[in-house]
Amino acid sequence: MNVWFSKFANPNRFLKVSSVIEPWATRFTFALFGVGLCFSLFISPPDYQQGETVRIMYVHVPSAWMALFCYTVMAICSGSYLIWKHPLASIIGKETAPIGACFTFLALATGSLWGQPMWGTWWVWDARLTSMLVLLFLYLGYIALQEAFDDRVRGSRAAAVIALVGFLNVPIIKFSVDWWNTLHQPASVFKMDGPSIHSSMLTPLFLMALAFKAYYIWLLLVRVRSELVAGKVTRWKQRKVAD
Amino acid sequence: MKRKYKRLYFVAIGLVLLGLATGLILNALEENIVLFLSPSQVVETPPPSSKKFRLGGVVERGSIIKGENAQVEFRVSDGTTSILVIYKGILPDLFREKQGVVADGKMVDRIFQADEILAKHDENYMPPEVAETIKKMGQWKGQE
Amino acid sequence: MATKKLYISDSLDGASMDLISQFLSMGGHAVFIWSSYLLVFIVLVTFIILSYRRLRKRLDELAEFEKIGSGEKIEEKI
Repeated sequence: MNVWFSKFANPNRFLKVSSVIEPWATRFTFALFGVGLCFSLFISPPDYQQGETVRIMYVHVPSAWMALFCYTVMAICSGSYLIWKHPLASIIGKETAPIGACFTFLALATGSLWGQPMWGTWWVWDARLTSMLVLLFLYLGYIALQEAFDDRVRGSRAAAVIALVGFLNVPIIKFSVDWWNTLHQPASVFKMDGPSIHSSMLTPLFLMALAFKAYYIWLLLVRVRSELVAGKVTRWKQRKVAD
Repeated sequence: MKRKYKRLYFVAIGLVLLGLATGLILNALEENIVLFLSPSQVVETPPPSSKKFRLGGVVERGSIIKGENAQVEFRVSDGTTSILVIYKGILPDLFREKQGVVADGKMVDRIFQADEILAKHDENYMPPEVAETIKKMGQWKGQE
Repeated sequence: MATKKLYISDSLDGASMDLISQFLSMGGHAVFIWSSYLLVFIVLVTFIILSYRRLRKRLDELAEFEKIGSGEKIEEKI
């Protein structure tokens, strides 16, 4: 396992693997978004209570899932960076952060656009919404810390610690709707007695969730490649200075 | 190899301690995290009459009375106790009988004077036809 | 020529035009629904474009260095 992981952590190895995955991630992103949008805008029915407004769910919920997923990836990368010092883990974590921050922003913004017509308010300080806002700040804090130090290694280390500490917020977000009374509704999909969403609405939800995931993989691979190239450029510059 | 394990333990112990600390803080803050009080809680330990708070529950069936000038009266219930709410203004889309509601305001003479009404919706999503069918079959469990 | 001009509405009868406007109005909450989809679209597209641009720039930079680098090597050999 460790040997395999170390091999994968080799940047050149990574580039080779990524050059195979990247075009597929791109194709899947377009295909899944195509089918997913058809389902979420045309084929799926309106809700018995919310009418057509339920369609916001198909972008809101996948955004929120991705916000949590990206943070989990970031925390795992930070942990393996701190413990095993994998440089690639550091890069993946660093490049996941802005993507996760964007998804968190989208979850908050689309949630607001959903809350106004349904709840009657853009924002309420309940446990779910507040913990989600904290998640956005954690992402921004991670990004800021990364840049705050002149020494890149120290920056990465400080950011990794923040990412790990902040991971506590992830289960809090998930269970906030069960632990405290909130305006936000409880979980509909991942709960003990099965989803309480009709299958005609689960299909577009899962398709969009997969589309978001494919998009994340595509974007991440492009950004990691970009970082590896930047690393090479820096080495060239250092060589030039040394000359 | 040894240093690697030292770091691993350091990170693991740090995380456990932080988890404990957060749990304790959240437990202590519990009262502030709570968004609303249920009618029973309000009756048992009434908040000071001048203090604003949020009242949450389900709009009792058949209790909505719409008056003049967009004034509306209804009862908020939690199954055991209910409180009369008076509100003047625009109601959210999802405000209806047997649907969750959160009202912001204060108690005046055992009546809750609300100045903001928020609708809460449940975790059930389904097309109208399916909801009809379930209701017809008499297996309806959720709110109406 | 003017008689040959075609509008989308010509190919659609009244009923389907109604369907389209009904679809666009989304049961009265069109603004909220369409703006959330538009927002997601804008953010996702912008992000991928910016990332590709950054990659392009860095690849060009690297190519520049590698060109100079290989040139130096040739000079050394001579």
